Amino acid sequence: MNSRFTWFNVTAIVLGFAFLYIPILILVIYSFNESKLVTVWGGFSTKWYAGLLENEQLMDAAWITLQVAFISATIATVLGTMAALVLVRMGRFPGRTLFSGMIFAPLVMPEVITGLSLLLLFVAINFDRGFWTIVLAHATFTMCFAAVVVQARLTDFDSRVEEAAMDLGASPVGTFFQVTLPIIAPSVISAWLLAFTLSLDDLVIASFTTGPSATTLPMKIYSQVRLGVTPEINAISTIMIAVVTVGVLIASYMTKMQSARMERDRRAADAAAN
Amino acid sequence: MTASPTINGIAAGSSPAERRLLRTAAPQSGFAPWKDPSKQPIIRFENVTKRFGDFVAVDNITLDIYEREFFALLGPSGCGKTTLLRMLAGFEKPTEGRVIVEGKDITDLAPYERSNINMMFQSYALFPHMTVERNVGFGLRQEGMPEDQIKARVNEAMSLVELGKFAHRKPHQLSGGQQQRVALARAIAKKPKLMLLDEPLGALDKKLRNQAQFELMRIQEQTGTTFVIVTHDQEEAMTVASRIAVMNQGRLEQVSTPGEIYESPQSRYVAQFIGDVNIMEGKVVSLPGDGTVEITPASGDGRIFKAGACEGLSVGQQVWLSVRPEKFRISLDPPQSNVNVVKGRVDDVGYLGSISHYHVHTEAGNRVTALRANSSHNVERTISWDDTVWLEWPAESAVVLKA
Repeated sequence: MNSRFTWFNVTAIVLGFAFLYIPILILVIYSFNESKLVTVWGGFSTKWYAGLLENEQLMDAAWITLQVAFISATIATVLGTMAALVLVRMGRFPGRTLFSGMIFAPLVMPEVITGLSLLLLFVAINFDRGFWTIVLAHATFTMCFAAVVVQARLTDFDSRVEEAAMDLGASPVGTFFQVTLPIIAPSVISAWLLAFTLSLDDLVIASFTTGPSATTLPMKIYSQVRLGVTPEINAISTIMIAVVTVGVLIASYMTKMQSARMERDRRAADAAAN
Repeated sequence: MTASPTINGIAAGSSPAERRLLRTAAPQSGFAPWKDPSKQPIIRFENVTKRFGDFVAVDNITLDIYEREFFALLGPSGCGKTTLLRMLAGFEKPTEGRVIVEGKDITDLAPYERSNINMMFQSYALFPHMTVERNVGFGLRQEGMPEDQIKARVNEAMSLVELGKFAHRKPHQLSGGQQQRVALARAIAKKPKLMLLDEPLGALDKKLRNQAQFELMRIQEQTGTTFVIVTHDQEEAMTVASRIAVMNQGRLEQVSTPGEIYESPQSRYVAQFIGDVNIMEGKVVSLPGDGTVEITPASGDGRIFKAGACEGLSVGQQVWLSVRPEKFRISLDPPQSNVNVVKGRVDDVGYLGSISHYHVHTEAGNRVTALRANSSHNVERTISWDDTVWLEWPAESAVVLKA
């Protein structure tokens, strides 16, 4: 074991983690700063967290952001799952390559372009910009991520299980809701969580597609930072980091436990049979 | 199944070769609906062809299967047997031809519209998120049957496969053999008229597979369901089936009972696919008209082979003579007769206890295999390597093949 801790490996690890986490660590530390000045440490305090609750503008923005993320993630997951099903199940059909390319192109599309084109569309069709335009825009750009996640699961899905359901009298729709969806549910939930987080912290596309009535949290933070960073911003960012971290930890723990349990059960069954 | 329980009891513990002999020796009961012209088949394939692009998976097959049969589709992978089965289930649509079940054309029906047909899948295809009980009751639930009736039918199906105590487990908590029974119970729970089995025992080890074969036969007999099984395992087909269709490259080579397939194969392909066989090439020299045929071997040394004639033979035609290893009488002394005799040298001896295998290099340059039972009366000199031996066989145990 010790031989793995060469100076090179240790340096690589330290450098990598430093790059990733020092900025976040500093942000978290200064959210507990007594002083109003962001760069000067004035002792430990949690007063900025208490102050958050009284900052109605920030609270409103947070509420809108959650609503947008929830609705758009749901739309994106439904559409993304449907697209993934078509891509995996229909086999080869004319235009399949084009279709799959077009679904995944937004993954690498610059956000500015996506935002601008959506803005132009909403203007062209005379859609009042505000809450719902952000929802639609977020559903559009997170859908391809959801499709990728669900498609990965469907590729190693045993289609005979679906055939068995149909053989036993279930219609295609019945088969989907009784068999396919429950089996791929973990990946559909991951897809939803991914879409939710992407929507939660999006600034560029929301800025392009919003109207005067709706301001999301990232937009609010960005506009406040331009007037000067306050420890309040650090506090709300720390909360967001905490929420995302806890969510990711729970999700990965659940996946790990589930596969471990299945492995244990299978061994027990084999042992019982022999 | 026609074999009596006693026969089953003996056969279960015997070697496959002995089992075959027992089955052949078993008295044929009256079950042979394919010989009765007044019977209507439950399944009829009418000139069915299935093409995948340029590949012809099933090539113009016409086949009748009768009620209560245990019908085996046998062949190597890619011979079209699974495609034929999937056309019955509705997962594949014939490119040409019709599929008729119980007098009704079902060619264009979707799988879920074929309520009298259920299938057991090769990899079992159990629903991983449901308990055994929910798996077995799935088909009944689709019909909208009341829950108390579902429960009764599920219990019935599970006791049929002796699976009662696992009702609340999930499939991944079961061993392979138990999963196989869940799959069987799930397909049988709807009491279909027609049960399709796609390599149902392929994933089991040999010992378990033998057990499961007899269990399938018991269940088929108890429920009176027509079974169609796809397998590449000739022993399995011989054991379970009332009739076997041997398939090759999308065509039917022969459709007969296991005994007929073994004793009177119609082509070299069938003879070689089922069991061990010695094939000798020759030419028809005369047809005496007493139901026999005389053949000279291709090596042309003037010897004569006699065998029962089949239809459509003519003098000068190229034919093949097929003789099973156990039909040879091997001896160290030249026999009296000069008919149906080949002379050779022993290359190899395999002693298996009850029987011995002899690999003989004949004068004509063929390698043939002979079997001899090591009965206690064999006090004569034992046959060993490099001995010169004569192989003799009765005319009625050789089969003339035209293809």
